[in-house]
Amino acid sequence: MPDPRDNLPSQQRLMAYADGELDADAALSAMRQVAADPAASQAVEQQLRLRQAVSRAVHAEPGPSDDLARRVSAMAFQMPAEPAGRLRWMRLGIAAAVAMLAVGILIGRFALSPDQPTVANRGVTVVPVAAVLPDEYVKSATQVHVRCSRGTDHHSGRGWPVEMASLETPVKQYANNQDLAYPDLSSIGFNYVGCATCGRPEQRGVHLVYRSVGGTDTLSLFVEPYTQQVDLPPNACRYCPKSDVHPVLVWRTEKLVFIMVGNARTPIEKARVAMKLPEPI
Amino acid sequence: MDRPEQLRFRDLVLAELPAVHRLAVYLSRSRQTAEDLVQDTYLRVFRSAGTYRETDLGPRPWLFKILHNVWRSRAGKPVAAGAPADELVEQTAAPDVVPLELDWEQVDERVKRAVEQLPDNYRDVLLLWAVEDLKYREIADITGVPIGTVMSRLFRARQMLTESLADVAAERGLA
Repeated sequence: MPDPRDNLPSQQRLMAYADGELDADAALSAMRQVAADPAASQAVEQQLRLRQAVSRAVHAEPGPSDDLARRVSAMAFQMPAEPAGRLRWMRLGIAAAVAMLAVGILIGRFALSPDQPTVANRGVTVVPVAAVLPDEYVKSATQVHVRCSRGTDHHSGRGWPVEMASLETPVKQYANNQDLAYPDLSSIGFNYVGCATCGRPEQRGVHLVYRSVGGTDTLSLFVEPYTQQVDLPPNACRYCPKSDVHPVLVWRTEKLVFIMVGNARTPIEKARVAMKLPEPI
Repeated sequence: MDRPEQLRFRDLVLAELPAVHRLAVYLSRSRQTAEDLVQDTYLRVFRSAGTYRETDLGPRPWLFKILHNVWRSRAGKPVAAGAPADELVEQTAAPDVVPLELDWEQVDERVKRAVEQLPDNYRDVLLLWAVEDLKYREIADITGVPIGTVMSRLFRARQMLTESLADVAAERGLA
């Protein structure tokens, strides 16, 4: 079946080029057109900006209400433990205790299954549905991500910030031990922009910014000293269940916490695979 | 699905609640209706847990597909492939792109209104493209229409948005 992306009218071809949807030959042809024709270049730039503007405007929409979150969680925790291949459901109007358990889990006070054994054949430890990160971490990280997505003039071009003295020792040790001081995400189409402390002195770490080819998307990686406020075993990886608009992936070593923030889940998943991180638990 | 997998599945899909809600709000243009859509969606999600197959993209496309099916069945919309209006867009000559001189950071409200005013089918693909960063083929799979239809709807949606924002630029003396 012919691909509808072949033989597109000129304007649609430029849009498909801006979207990264053309094959190599068509993309090269479009690139030449853009290089030779200022109007074509402007059209592509405009499409990139339009996409960013729509994403930003829609992301500003308030998230689900607490009441909705509770109702959905209550459904989730009514899933009975059934043999594989069979799931039977309890009726929805069941015990307030189940709903209260869901509420407790939502606010991070209960452990869902604190004594679950390690799943030996997958090497994954099941952890409770808790916050993973304190609320203020998530809020601060996403605010910095959004702010720095709009401008990274204060980020240094390569390596670590000049203000190394302000960093906590584990972060400095990490920086000094790496031949490449930051993860390379170029294989997934994200180029490293720079690094700065970005006004998070309480965490004493650094903020690395990555921008997609074409500049439509941004990934943030925060590298910070581990504290006991982070609820995650070493070498485990987990999406923060309380992150709102922006997905937040967290992993840690013995002494460091890595927090990746993006505008959508797909690029974060690609980054996770590219960095050879374990599957999220 | 054994117990640890259930727990993991639960975490995965609950983490997507904000994204599912966001899309539901823009599909339905009503927060109240969106709440109902989200609730029905997750009911189906938990009933269909055994059919979920994890991919590199995570559960979001699968969740969106379920949301779309719920939305369509509520609205009584059939899945229409290549409706005549879409074919017309493919065949007519595309007008020149209107160049916009805008401070893109200051027009969020106008963009939001322009998106809300788009016809359902155009708004749908636009959101999946711009907000969720999905590829044409992924959008086609979620919406249940051919990729050519996705492309023509997306093209038209972007044209309409651009025309709407051209008015903004003119108002501000920028165009």
